[in-house]
Amino acid sequence: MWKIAGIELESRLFLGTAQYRSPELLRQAIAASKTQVVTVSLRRQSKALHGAENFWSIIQQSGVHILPNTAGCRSVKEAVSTAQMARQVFNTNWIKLEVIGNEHTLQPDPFGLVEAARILCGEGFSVFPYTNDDPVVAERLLASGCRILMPWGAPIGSGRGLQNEYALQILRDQFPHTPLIVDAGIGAPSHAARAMELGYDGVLLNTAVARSEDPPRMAKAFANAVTAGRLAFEAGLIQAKQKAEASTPVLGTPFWQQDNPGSPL
Amino acid sequence: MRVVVNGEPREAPPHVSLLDLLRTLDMEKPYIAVCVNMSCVPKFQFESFELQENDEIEILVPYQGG
Amino acid sequence: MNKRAAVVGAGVIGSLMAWRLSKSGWSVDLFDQDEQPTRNCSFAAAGLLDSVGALEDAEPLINELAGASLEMWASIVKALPEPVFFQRRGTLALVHSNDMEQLDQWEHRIRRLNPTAAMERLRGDALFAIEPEIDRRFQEGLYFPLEGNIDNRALLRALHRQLRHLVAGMHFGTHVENLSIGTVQTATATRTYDQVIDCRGVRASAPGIRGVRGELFVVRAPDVAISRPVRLLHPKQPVYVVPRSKDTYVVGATQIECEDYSPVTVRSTLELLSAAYVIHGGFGEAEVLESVTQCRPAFNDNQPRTFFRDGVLHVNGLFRHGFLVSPKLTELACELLEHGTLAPQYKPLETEATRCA
Repeated sequence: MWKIAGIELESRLFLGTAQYRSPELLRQAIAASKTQVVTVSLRRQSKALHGAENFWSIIQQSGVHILPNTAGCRSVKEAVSTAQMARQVFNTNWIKLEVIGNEHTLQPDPFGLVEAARILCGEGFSVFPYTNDDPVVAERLLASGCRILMPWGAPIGSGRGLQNEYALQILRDQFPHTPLIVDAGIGAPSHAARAMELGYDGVLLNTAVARSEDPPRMAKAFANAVTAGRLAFEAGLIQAKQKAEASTPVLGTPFWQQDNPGSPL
Repeated sequence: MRVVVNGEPREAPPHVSLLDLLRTLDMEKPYIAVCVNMSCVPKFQFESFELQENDEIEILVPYQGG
Repeated sequence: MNKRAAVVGAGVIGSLMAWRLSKSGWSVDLFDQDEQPTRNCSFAAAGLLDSVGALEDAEPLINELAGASLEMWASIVKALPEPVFFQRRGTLALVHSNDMEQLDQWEHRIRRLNPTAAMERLRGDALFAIEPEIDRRFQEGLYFPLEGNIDNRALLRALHRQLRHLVAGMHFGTHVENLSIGTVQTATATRTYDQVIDCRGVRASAPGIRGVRGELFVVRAPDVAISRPVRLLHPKQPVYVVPRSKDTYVVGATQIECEDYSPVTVRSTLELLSAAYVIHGGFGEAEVLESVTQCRPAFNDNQPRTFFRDGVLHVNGLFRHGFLVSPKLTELACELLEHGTLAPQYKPLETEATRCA
């Protein structure tokens, strides 16, 4: 069990709900992943409600916590008003804050992000900021009131995994008491496991499951990977070394069997 | 009077409440959010909120997202 | 005395059901709310028969139904009183060089699901030998030699024309207010039947159906000579260009999880038409004849189904695969009607869809 934003969770895997080929695959993937938190967005209502109703039912029936996002927002004003509306719709103070700065890389606009975070934290939101791996930006976000950080692994939807482990490790070291969740760019369960091995508290992913060949199966793979990675972190990984070290003890082996240039024979 | 709902002009009775308008549109649902003239209206105010001529109403619903 | 059936909905499913049942000796009444059924998916469709390409995001059973249906379309078209454009000369799938992984992924996925699928990876001259006019920026693509396309509107017209002679009653321009076991109620009459069959797509009484919005364009492009359907693969918005008749092409289609019939949006317009332009610069001078919006009927898993519910036979959930599988699916629906059950390998078509709303 772990604690985040005022609740206790079993699962450290958060799942996005976009890009599934059918609503049924979404439903099955949520179940198979054993996730307890999914991200959703808001859109303008068109004439018929049925699509929204169906989606809403799936989410409600899966019993997960909802983390609304400000996807598509390119300004502070947009992000803030979307967050306020999301609070109405979903009855939650949680908000995944995305303020995009570049259309091609879809990377966060750190200045807009910090400003929007400041406003929203001031209004009592529990902000989950999607950010880059820059510790200065991280510092500013925490100073604005954020209690959680969600640095990227790689550009959204790219499936490239952890592009800059060094930077992610620095963030982990510099903010040891802040829940850190890798969000964006994860492609394979091994990436998720790696993030967990680094000591990250959770991972958020969408494309890696939704666009895989068999989303429910992939969701299960990710669930296993996140569990494995966390267990490994808690179990204490061995250090990587420069040279070989035999696992079998050599004491007691006759010296003429040892591969030792200093031996008399 | 004339109001605009999600970009579409509509006729509504003068001083109609937001809640009543939603009801006539069959959009009184637990999962919607409403903005009037770019300002979010909290759910508990739907009944007391009176609409004015040419008000621009945006109704938002949950959708898939990452 | 013949058994009497009511088929409600004269899209491709309802029309083929009425056709089959009449030929098997049923006395059939066919209903449609429109005088000229044009406000339905069958009219809006592009007529792309992508039996292999559809594997990419559909269950293998669709592939099987599609393969059988392609054969059946040939006989159906032959039996109709007026010519209907139908070809099996293959289709192409192309990508931007930036999106080459899409092509790899498509190919890989299809091969995994069907190792013997008729699919070839073509490069350079081999590709242009198939369609000489596609833009030279495309140097690599997938060719599906056994796929094809049909002029769906011509098919429906010809089928309806023949049905006028085959069925007992054509009730077009007749809105069905209520249907139930053995009964169809309209504004002017309540009629009784041995079997009522609901083929109304999104408007059917089938439980668990949702509408999935699609937008497409019909354009006239005399500067373009593409003879086969061409698909441009794209992670977010794949586009196809399907030749319908001389100089006329269908460019489509978006897929939006919303039951919304409002006009085509600017974004969708840009996405679809710029893709067509990229495939062949001649589309730049094309005339937009129609912009079309429709909602595809789909169950939660996007798979088609045929089943009895409260005594009414339903055939629904065709999603993007109406013309692709309707000949075989309607044959199976008739089998279900005759025998009360489907052969084991088709049982999935009868299963109840999971329902949420």
